[in-house]
Amino acid sequence: MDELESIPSPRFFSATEDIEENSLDLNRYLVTHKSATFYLKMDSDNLVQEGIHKHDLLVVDRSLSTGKTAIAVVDGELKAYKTSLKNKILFLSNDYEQPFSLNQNDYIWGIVTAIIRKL
Amino acid sequence: MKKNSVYALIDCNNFFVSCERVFQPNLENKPVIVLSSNDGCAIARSNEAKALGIKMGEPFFKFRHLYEQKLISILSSNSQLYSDMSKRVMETIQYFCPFVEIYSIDEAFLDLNKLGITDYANFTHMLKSKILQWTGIPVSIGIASSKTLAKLASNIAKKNSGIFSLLEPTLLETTLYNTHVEDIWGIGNKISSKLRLKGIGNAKELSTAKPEFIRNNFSVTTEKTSLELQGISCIEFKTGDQNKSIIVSRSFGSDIFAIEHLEEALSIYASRACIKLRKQNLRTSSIEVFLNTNQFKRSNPQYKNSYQINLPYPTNNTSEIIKTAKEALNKIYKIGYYYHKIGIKICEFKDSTKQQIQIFNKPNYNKSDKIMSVIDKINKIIGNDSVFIAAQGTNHSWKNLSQNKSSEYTTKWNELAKVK
Repeated sequence: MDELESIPSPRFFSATEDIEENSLDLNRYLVTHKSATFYLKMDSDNLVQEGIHKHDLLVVDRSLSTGKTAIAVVDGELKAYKTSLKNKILFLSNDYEQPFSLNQNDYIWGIVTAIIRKL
Repeated sequence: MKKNSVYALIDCNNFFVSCERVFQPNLENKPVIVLSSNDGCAIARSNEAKALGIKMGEPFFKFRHLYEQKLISILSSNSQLYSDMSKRVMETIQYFCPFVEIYSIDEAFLDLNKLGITDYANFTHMLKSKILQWTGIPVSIGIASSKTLAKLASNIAKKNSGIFSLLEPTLLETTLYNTHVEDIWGIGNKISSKLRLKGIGNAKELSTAKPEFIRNNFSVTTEKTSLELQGISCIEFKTGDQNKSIIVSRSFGSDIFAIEHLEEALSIYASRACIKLRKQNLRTSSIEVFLNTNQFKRSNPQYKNSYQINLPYPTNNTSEIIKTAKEALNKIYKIGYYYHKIGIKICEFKDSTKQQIQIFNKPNYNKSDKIMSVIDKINKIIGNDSVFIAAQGTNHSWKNLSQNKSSEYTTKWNELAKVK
């Protein structure tokens, strides 16, 4: 058939055939709620002390409401923060910003469940 | 016909705008317009933009001044983002209620009766807040005893707190009185003006009209609508996402003259349509190709046409469908015109898991299926269109302009939203 000729390289065949039910699937390891999980790119060194570097890939689960690291919308911008609770009030902070609580228009966008960094 | 049914219609609010706002929160509470794929006219408006008087389908030049004065934000259509977000919304709904009929990219019917719950208000409030939390998309939900009434309820919900039920008889009564026939789901312009001529102006009057009268003067469909308004469910609930037809078409960024370029575009749309077919385990026995010139460029000669070809046997093989689509194109292509849009429509589906007995032209399904599934797999793993049928071409100069298109936040690794 014609289609076979348009497949760039035969090695793709083995690559796809190897992906069977029993192999290790990073999606299943990293993603719990598929429809609620988004990937974002870290664009600052605001959380280096938490081990998150600029250009890291963040796995963000929106179905969770609590977690150590959160993405929040602050002044209309997506930002990553570490979270803390004081007297049941949620505080956000990073390496440069002191803990603060969310304003009326600000909200938690999702919870960071993993970071991915290629070496 | 069955009584005692309870349906909900979930409708995403200003869906395309809402998708954009998930990744650009600075657009919240601001007037935002999404333009059609060739940046022609408004296809989605935020509430703030609606308040400025911008109408659905209004051409861009009419509100360009607002954009230039920086009073509104304009975005080009980002269909990859919208279809991925749609998938997420539908999956979230299905997680909480398995009895779902996906009606359009931003609407879904739910059969609540099957859930075995009694507190519909509580369930729909939970669902609305889960959809918002999981996907970032705000929705309105209408609840009623038929699909037509659920649709009506969702329209009211959109203007109120987001959830509206027409299960309560007295509330249903007043709502029907206040609903013009034009605003009823399934009643088009032609029928509504005819209804008005016959003295039927609101939903209450349609619901109490004599069935014989409706049947004789209109159609069975209008009779069904009348029953639906009485709360008697008679429009079938279809689970699964088997669409009646698959249409893939785009307007070109710049008009196309040569048949080679049209063929190239058509091949891409045909292969997209085939992927959709295969995803649903369907084959088609009929395809239609359509093309037209730019009707807004009045100075150019105008032409539009379509051609349908029936296939000898049902198929979902990309190369076969591209070949047939090109045949159809060659039937209608006329030299000397600048073409603005081409598309393919696939209808007449057959379930490919149930093979039919064919006496003539028996195709080799197994071999074809194997090749197609390999192509689909590779494209799924290493990105769309890594593997394609050679006819699709590699240099697509005719692609959409899409000047203000946002990133493909959920479908491309190098276009993810950035966080500080």
